[in-house]
Amino acid sequence: MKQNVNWIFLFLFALISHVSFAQSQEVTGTVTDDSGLPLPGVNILIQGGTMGTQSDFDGNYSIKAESNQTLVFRYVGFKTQEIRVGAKTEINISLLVDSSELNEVVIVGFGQRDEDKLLQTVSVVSNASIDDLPAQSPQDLLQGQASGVSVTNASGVLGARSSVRIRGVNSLTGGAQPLFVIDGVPLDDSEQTFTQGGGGLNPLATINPESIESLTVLKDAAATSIYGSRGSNGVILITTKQGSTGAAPDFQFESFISFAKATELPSVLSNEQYGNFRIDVLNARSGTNFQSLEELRDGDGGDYTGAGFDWIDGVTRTGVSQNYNFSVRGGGETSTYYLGVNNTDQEGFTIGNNLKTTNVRLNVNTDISDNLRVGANTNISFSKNDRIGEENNTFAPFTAAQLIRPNANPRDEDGNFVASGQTGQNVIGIEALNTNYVETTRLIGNVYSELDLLDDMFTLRTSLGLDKRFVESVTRFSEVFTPGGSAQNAIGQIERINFTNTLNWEKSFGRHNLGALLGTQFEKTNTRFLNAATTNFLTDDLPNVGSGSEPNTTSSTSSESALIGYFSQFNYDFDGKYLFEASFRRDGSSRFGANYQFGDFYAVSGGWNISAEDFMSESIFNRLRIRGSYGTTGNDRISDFRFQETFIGADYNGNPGLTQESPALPDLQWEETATFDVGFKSGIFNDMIRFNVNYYKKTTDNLLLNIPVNPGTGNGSVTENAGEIENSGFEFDLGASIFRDTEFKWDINFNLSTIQNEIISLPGAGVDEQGRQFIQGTPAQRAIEGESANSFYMIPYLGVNPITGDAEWLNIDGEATSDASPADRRIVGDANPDFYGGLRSTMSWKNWDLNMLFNYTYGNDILVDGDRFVRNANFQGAFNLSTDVLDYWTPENTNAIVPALTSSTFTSYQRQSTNQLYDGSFFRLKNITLGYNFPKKIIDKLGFLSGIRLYATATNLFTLKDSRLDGIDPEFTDSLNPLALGESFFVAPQVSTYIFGAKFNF
Amino acid sequence: MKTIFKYNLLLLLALIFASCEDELDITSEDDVDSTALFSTATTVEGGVLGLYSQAQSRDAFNGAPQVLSEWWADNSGFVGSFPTFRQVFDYDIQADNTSINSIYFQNSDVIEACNLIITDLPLADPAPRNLSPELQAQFIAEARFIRALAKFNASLYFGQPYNVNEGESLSIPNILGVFRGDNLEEFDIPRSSLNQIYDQIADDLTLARPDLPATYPNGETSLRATSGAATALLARLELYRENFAAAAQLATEVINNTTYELASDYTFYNTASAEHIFQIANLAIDGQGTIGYSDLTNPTPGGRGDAPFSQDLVNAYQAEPGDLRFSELTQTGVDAAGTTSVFTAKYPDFATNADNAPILRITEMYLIRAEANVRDNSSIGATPVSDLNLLRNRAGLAPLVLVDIDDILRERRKELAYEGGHRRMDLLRNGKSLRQGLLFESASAVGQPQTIFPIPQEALDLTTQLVQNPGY
Repeated sequence: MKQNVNWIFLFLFALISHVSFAQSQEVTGTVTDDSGLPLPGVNILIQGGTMGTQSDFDGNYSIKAESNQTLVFRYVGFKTQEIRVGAKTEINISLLVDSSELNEVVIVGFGQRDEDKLLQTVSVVSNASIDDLPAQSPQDLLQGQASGVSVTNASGVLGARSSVRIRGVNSLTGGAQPLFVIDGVPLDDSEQTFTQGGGGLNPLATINPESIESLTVLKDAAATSIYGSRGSNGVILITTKQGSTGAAPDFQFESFISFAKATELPSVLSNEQYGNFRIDVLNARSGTNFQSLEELRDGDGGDYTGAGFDWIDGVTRTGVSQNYNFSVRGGGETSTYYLGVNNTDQEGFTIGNNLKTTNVRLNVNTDISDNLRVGANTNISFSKNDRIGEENNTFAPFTAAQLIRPNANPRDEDGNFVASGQTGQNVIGIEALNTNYVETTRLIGNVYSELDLLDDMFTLRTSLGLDKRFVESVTRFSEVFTPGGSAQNAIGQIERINFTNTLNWEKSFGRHNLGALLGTQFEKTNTRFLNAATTNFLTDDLPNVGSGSEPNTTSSTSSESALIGYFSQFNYDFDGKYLFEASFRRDGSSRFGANYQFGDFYAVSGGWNISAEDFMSESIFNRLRIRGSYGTTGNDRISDFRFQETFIGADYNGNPGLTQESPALPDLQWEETATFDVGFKSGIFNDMIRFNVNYYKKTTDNLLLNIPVNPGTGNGSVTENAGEIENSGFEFDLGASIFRDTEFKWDINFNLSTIQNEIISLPGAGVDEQGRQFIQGTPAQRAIEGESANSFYMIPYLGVNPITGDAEWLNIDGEATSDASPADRRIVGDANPDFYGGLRSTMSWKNWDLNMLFNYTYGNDILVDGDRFVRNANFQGAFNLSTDVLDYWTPENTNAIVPALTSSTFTSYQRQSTNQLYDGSFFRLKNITLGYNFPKKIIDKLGFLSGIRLYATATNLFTLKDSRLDGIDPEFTDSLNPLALGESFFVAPQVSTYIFGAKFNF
Repeated sequence: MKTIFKYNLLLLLALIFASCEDELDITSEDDVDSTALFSTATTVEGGVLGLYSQAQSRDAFNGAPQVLSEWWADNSGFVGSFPTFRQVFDYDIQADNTSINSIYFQNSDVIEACNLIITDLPLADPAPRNLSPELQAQFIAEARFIRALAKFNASLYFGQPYNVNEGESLSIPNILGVFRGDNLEEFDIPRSSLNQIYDQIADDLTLARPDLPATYPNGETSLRATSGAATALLARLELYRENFAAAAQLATEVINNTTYELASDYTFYNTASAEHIFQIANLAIDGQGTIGYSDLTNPTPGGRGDAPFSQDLVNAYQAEPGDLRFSELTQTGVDAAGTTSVFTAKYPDFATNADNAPILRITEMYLIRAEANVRDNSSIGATPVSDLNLLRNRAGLAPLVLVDIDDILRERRKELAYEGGHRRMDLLRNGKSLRQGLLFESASAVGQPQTIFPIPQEALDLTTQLVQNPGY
């Protein structure tokens, strides 16, 4: 009976519909927002059908519809509205902003959260912030963009590593870099330096920044504890671009060309200046009486009569780089895909420094059945880095160009390159004749499956990840510079396998929402290296290491480590108002002795969404949440076999021998960090103003210290868990949409982070003159109990006494003296800043946009150690010197940098002291981009294209810095060692680029 | 069905992970521990060879302190970039000098490694397989020899010589312990007097001598410790502490040893010639490293060009023209400042730094005997005149009729230039200033603070009992 009735209704309905279909009409109108401004690009669809259109630039639309149909107006950020057509031919509509749709989903460790239920302290660097930022590596995308994150590029050399610090330095010996995870695969970021001087290569350089969708920086324990023994330094989650279901293929082609120069170049003496200065010094100190450069040549030997050669100019150039990026993304009904291909050919601003990379990424996801999904994210990259020597290496272009005497010429009269015959090598010839490159092939990928169980209450996800790197370093030095020639070939293979399983559960009971996560993780890393070097080649025409007749080095090393983790997480919220989360993880690592192989880590957090309460419904706050968390994490960044007693090979006369390297350390265990974090997040006037504040305090104990021991023991140091360090600070994020709903839009985001770093205790360490315990990081820097981990401990330099012309230092009793000693050292500075951060300004008007990104740091001191050579007038005759040395004391020039030529302090005024210490605060326009998107009218005429964008960018355009830093770029660090921050020894300056590019969508 | 499937899956995962926990027990493939060290005679010998390898450090015996001594005295000019070396040349040494720190550290490293063999080998349980008592005694004796050599070496630099205060000046702390990771107190001891250190050295050498072989197979006699080497070092020790009769007698014993023979010309460097009593072997794949003898003493571009002959040294050779030691053992080249100068040619391998480091050779025995006899007015073994003329004859110089201490010092200088840092000690122990008639003459007089190194600041900072040398 029932069935018959159904059929009758259907028939009647069909009749009516049929009748209705006959009445199709043109419906037009204007779509505006609630202030009356037109909304372009609004989707207007026929409900239940596939017909649709979009509102134009003025908010007008026109669509054919039947009177019984419903028009659906849909626009991101606004509440969807449905209007029945009825008899109307004109429907004007005002859409209301829907703040709930503005909520992003935030990617966190092993899952994701709705932004309004997020208890973890994370910083999200979204696609909008990085889309038009030309970057060499993922770390570049972070600089200045996230509070609590400090990124320092080591130098302007291509491929150079960066130092990333999240909430300060939490470890002194156990590596302070955060964990990088890409699509769930923790990356191996071990450096493979191949000793070229100071520089190490950036292990993340082969990841194409253009394939990155967003980055999430996990900062507090609630976010990082689930990474257990690797969470102490913070975690950076990288999510790569995916396609979306039901989307037509979106092709994008982008290409840009960039011109690179050094931000700063030092100024050294010309040939004539050098010769004359030498005459002055010799006449004053050695009793000679040279009156001209010719007399100097005849009497002393050095010939400075010619024009000389400008070496700094000779080693620098304008680097021209090209970048091509092609991608297509989209998806069908049950699958999505993203394919990205990138090719770059970069030239550094130093000769001989190039980097070519090719990157292919393919991300696919597909539904195999209703409750089973599988997918793969794969990336293969090839890179060839034409390297240059760096820093403490006389073959390094920047170092040698400052040291080589200006009368040296790279070529002889016949035009052939010649060795310089002095400490500063002929780097122009070296870069022309020598080979020095590193080739890297890297495969990063993971495959996963997701299975929904028990009516979608449980989801089981299994993922197998791989990070495999092949690195080959080839060097071949010409016989012109290395008699006999030499070659080296080093090959390394680093492989990491990761197997992760998680079981997810979600359930809501009325207004109670619960979620739980159980997981296991297994990871194994394998490293093998082989190094062969030979010398004594018949001719430079034989490039390979096998052709050398005398083997010089054959060595190989291998290393292995494994990690097992069991973790769980539980989260609960009541009606989105009261939030609670807890996590627990147990990790075991092969790097620790049997007594302490496993460690437990936990976190709890809670919060209150005040803005979700009824009494807040009329307030100006669209978001107001207070939250706090407390938890523990660990740090496992020590070498793989630290706890074992080791004797290493020590051969003698070709026979194998052994010598003790370190005693056994069975009690070696984790460094553990406990983090307390509290803060609030607010959005005012519908997120027109966004203000977040956080306070954190991280205490790390069981610090792994290489406690220096009495050198009489024959051991430099012994590793112990001792010591405690604390980092605390505030993080402020302020965002304002100054103009949001007008044609001219302006949005700024400002972040500021303060950092206070204090060593609480260092038991067993040496004691300084003031009775405090300390660990020496570098000859100038120490971690001192009660002070920062990067305290500069040096003799204060007062300058040149205008009356006597002698250099003076401050002795320990507070008096000026010209005869200082190491006993006069005291704390003179701190390499850690007082505060740092960034400012991002986004402006757009019609089709134009102007984006600026500033980054700044304040209160940190930097040590330019190279000054002891290049600004040391005492080295005249040996090296070239900075033009600064010409400012020496004379009775006419009493306010001088260099003491009187006859002063006894002339030989010692550049001994290590605050004379080489500078104020490293700076404010820098890191990126300014002007872009133009072609208007829709022109695009439509071109047919196949759906968007064209042209842009011009300048990076590191200007920097406000201390006036003493002329010729020196304040951003550098020559070591990733947490105890050696902010020091430079002939570090190449940062790079400033001008970029012109175009992006086509079709 | 679904439930069963789910439980099976979880069980499978649990099984996989149970077996995975074994994966955490990983040991290094490239290193061994002490049970492996003392397991067989071969591995123990490896440990002994490791002592020589430690001595190969450039800051122990392969050149850094030795060439520093030449800059310190009057043999060498300094033209170079290292501020730590320049301090010594300019008599402006500071306690935080990193090169001095390395020298202190490396010699201590050698000493501690020797202590491990001497102390732990007799106590090894289970006893090493195939290790006869004679071989065990030999290995311990080799360790004693190297320890004596290293303590002698360190005592030259960090304390005043014997003739200042008759050996009661503070020298190095006499460290005999083995580092276990947690026994730092054993190493936190005060400095001993020079006499105490000399007694320790004499003890070690006297105990070692009977157990050391006279020769080694495969041409390695001069590359490892022999009874002849122990006797020779003892001779040098007795000369330094002014037991002249004993010095002459011990030198005579070595001279009469048929294993050694004065070479007929100067081609013996870096060979297995019978001229050598003890030298440190360096190979291309296992050499001095950089900033050792070869790197420092060769002119650019091959070497650093930092150590050309001083004008004073050139004058010393040219005062008696025809000295083969000047014509055959020197080269001209460009120094680091671009000036053409004279350099030693005793370490020509700048490419791979594989030149051996000479430590004891028979020529020195003749010189020791001659000096002991001159200073004690004796003629044990042979007269000083005949000993000196033997060496002068080889050098192509006319024989002398009378010999005084200045003749001895001159011969020592010309014979042992750029070898082992002898010039500095020769002048100091004979009461002469290091820079006679040259710049810094008064600062370089015997007993002056800047004629010896300071105890490194780092050692003072990390111990409680060490006292710094005066003037630092």
